[in-house]
Amino acid sequence: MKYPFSLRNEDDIILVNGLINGNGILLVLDTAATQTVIDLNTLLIMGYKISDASEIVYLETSNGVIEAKRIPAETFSALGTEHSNYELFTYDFLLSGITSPYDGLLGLDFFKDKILTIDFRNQELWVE
Amino acid sequence: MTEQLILQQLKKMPEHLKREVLDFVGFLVEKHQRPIPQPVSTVTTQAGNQAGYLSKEEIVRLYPDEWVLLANFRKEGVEILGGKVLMHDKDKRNLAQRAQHESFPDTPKTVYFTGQLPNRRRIGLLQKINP
Repeated sequence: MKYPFSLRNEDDIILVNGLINGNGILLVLDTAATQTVIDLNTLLIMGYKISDASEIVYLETSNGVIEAKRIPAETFSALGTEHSNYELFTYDFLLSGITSPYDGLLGLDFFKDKILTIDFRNQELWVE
Repeated sequence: MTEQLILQQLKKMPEHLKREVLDFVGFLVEKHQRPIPQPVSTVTTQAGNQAGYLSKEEIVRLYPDEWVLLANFRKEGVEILGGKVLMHDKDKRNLAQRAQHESFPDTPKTVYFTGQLPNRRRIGLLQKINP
């Protein structure tokens, strides 16, 4: 299935829908990110507990190195691809100065063993 | 019958109007030769019953510049169409803290911001450092 996206302005980004344990999230497709990360605030609002997050990891971001935590998702899906028992990373976007209406970044780890095609001319993408 | 009517009207027209008719005929022929556009592929998510469902416009009007937690939400593509508001707050972190003390129905939920945030895209993640 092909998923349309919209890049009307030069600073537009590619947004995709995700589902984490059945809850809807809005993700930015980031092919420069090695990991998928979700804003901690979004997870807490959806009913996750801080205790659900475990081991601390350090992520290098464009804002410097930040401390994040691993958090498991029973199911995590986007772009027609579903992963079970998926390991996500989470940190407080607001604490890092990120004010964004998006819930996280969809990183390269999500596409392991898949083929991701981004057709910029026709503004659609698909995963095989 | 229709052809005769068209020809009768055409004969009465001055030359410049005949050219307009000819242009329009060309437009109609081209229009009907185009393939029928396929509907844009979108993902529509719908969850639960519709009790308390509000459209996006209603949510924006009632809770301007707020973060809202929605159940029974509907989306078209990446755009929220509406949902049932479970909680709302001007501050996302406040909403996150308050949500820790609430229990919500076990239905799919989503978080939505009703306003416009400053265009600061400092969200790039490069790589994980430790294994």
